[in-house]
Amino acid sequence: MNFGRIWSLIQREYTEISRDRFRLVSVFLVPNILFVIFSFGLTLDMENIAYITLNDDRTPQSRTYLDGYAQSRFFKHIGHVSSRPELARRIETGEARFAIEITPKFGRDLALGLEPEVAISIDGAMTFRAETLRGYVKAAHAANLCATIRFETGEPCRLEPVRFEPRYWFNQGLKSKVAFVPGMIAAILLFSSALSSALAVVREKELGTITNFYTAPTSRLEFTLGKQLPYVAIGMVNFVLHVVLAIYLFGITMTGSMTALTLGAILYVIAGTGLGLMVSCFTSSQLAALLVTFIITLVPAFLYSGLLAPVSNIAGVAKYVAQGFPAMYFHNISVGTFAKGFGVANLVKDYLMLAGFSAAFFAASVQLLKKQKK
Amino acid sequence: MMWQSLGHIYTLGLKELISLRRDPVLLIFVLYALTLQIVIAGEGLSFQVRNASLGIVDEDKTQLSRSIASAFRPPYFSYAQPRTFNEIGAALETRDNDFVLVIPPKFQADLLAGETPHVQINADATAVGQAFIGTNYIRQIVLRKVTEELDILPEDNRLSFGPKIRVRYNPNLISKWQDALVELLIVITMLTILLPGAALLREREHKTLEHLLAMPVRPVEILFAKFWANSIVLLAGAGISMVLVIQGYFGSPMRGSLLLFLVGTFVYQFSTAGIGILLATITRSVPQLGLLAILVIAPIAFLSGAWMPAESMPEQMKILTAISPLTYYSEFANAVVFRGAGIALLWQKLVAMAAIGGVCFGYAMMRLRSHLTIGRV
Repeated sequence: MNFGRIWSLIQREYTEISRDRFRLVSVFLVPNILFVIFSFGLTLDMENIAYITLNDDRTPQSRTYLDGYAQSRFFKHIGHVSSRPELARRIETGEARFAIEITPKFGRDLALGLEPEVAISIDGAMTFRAETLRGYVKAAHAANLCATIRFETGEPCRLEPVRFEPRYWFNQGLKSKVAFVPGMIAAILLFSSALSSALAVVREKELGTITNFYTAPTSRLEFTLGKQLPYVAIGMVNFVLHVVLAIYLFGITMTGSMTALTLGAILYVIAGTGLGLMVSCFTSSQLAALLVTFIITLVPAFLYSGLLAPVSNIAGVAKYVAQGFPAMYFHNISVGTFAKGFGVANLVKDYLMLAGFSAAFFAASVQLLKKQKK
Repeated sequence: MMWQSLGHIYTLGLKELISLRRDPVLLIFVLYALTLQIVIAGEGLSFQVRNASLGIVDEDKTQLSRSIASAFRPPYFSYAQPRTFNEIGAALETRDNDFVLVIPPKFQADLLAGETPHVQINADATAVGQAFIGTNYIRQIVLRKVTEELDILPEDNRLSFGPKIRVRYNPNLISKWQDALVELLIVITMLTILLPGAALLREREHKTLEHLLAMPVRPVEILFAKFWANSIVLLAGAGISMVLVIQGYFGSPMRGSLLLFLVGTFVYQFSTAGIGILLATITRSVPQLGLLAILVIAPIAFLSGAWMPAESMPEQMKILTAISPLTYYSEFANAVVFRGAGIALLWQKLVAMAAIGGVCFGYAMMRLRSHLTIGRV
């Protein structure tokens, strides 16, 4: 292996990127803009869920009961309807996410000491929302009914025989950002580093400059290294920027070891750029390389890394997809070091997996690169 | 004039189809994305609690506490693992357990005496969605067992049953259906932005765009040709995917009309192809297009409300979601597929998508034309 040749290749790649001012700016700007947008936008803390009411009772009791919902920050009342078909229609259009329907006997039942009947329809088309909503609505119903009983009759009302004390570890307020911002570093870093390197080889193939490599003494190993290293450097700069933003813009506290996180990031960026390079070696057009990289990284980086749902929840084939992809290991490193106070010792298994991916993608790239067009 | 123009669009489109056929890796990939990728995404993703690993610290050790412990079982939870109080932190830290339930001493005795004992639910809150939903499930399971075993009802029998909750359209909340559909929408988005955009740039990089512009065809014809050729391929793919994968493999209902879904998809493609072509006129090379496309596609996918509820987003983000065509398309597709909505309820969404496409195409056309007059492309 000739280090001089590798160095010249790195310089060549560096010159190409630095002269293309658009690319130079955007390789740093794009991932960080995405990081900020997503970290702001990704939240499961649901508020202001639109609902409608159909009140066939119209007693003060039923109004007190409904007021309870209107005052909650979780729900947003968008109107009364007067008939069931109208209720169905407004859920069908997606305008309202749920509807509360009160039967004519509500006030009377309550006065008689019976359980009044309330029917709640939830739009189940979006399952996570419906699931969460069902939890919110049940709790709100009990609390509002109790409040109505206390207010209207003056009787005491006890909700449940058992008091539950949820303790949310590593994230006491159950705030989305504590988990999602570190998770987002893992998602963005993978797909930005894979995309940055994905065109490195195929572009030369499509534009014909690859002939220089065919005729030069450079070996396949040297060529691959020279192509990959500049993108590893770019990836690491982005990693540092993401961490700075996470800490200073989003106010995420680093409870574990920064060294442990950085070590993981180096391995992860090598794996990510290696993945891009591998795609670059087997595709024949830049368009194909872009699409392949987009599809194999964007979706898994967000959906199989553990960002939205823990990987242990995933079943069947998809579990192997998640395990066969670097994102979940770095997700563990990032969330572990930020939220759980992890150091290097807690993460050895994840390092080994990432090192394995880096080696495998690199070896595959070298293998797929041909010294002569077939 | 009109007919001649349509003829040009048709012929130029055929040329597009031929160049698509010559890139087999690309075509295989399009096929993969529209089938296997959707299967994988639909099978895997789940915001629901599945196989959550549960530990239990039983300090009561009565029949009631044992019966609560045995109530946890797959598919929602693992069988409860016994833990001691001191192990809770370590179990959650290593993800050995996602939840640890603590039943206090004298739990059963307190309940029978009419007291209100406290039950602690420890959750690994780095998995936010799971922690929230799982805590609710655990709460319900414990309450159910307490009522069953001890015959204790809330003091006030007006609270015994809770509201009648009816979940419409997907009563069992099978998330696979929606996950698979969302995946299809996102794949369509990526493909329809990148394919026509890159097709235009490829002509520019190989200098064949100059040939085209020197021919007696107008820029608008070039753009529309790229649009229809790429759309028709993807539209066929989307239809096949809808029938074979979403309905066939996943058994999702199709309450509305497939034709309406395809019409909506075509209109959506007009908006995304517009975005792709516009991006291609702004950039000068495929790597540049790639970078710019991420900046556009990732937020479109992310902020559309398709992966997570849009209601909860900060206000500034909601402005972005309002100009993203996927917001309209995902509401449209959800309404057609799961709620069986017809065109009468959905025409506004179609108009919104068409308008976004119209603006993008219009602007792209202006840019292309100005290049033409300056003579620099």
